[in-house]
Amino acid sequence: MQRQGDEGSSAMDLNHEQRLKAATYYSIKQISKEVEEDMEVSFNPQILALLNESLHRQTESWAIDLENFAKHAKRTDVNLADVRLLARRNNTLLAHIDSLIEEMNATETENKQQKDGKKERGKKRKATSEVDPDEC
Amino acid sequence: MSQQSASFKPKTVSSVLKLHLKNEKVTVKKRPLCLVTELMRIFSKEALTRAADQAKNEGDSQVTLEHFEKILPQLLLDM
Repeated sequence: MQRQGDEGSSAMDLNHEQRLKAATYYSIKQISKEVEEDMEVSFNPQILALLNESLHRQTESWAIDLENFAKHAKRTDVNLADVRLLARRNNTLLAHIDSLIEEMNATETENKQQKDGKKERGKKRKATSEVDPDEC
Repeated sequence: MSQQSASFKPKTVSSVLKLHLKNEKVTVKKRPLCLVTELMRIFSKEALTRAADQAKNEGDSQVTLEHFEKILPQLLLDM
């Protein structure tokens, strides 16, 4: 969700945290539409608000965990192994995360091969570590 | 990966994480961020699916807070 400055004064009054909650609420709403279609049910709007709140609490504990995992490894950046540790208690989830990591590594090597092909573009590749707003 | 289904924006996830990090020096790079985004998507989808299942088992097509409250404890243990 792109939040623009000319969105209206009511949106501007919201503080940073409330705006983030609004952004996640929007995504949750979209996910709920998918589930509604798949399972032929309808969700009470209160559920989405409660889920949003639960998600934020959960994310808070994830953030603290990630920070401590990185600190324990004497790093200041969170890496893939730290995220794996978050999912350590749920084997199915861990397997899913591992498959995603493998997929990422595969595309990484593919990109590297492409990069070797055209070395003059090597500088542009460095930008991939930056946060891309739309793609994963 | 998860492009087909609705998900969160990595930028939003990054801001949410930053909100809760105690030490400002800690950074989250793009790839770990994508994984956290996926975790959040799974958390939401799983919650909604379980609540919908619970409602169906009780013979309702409208999912209410009561159904959600029943599945929440196990969901939190599973994540």
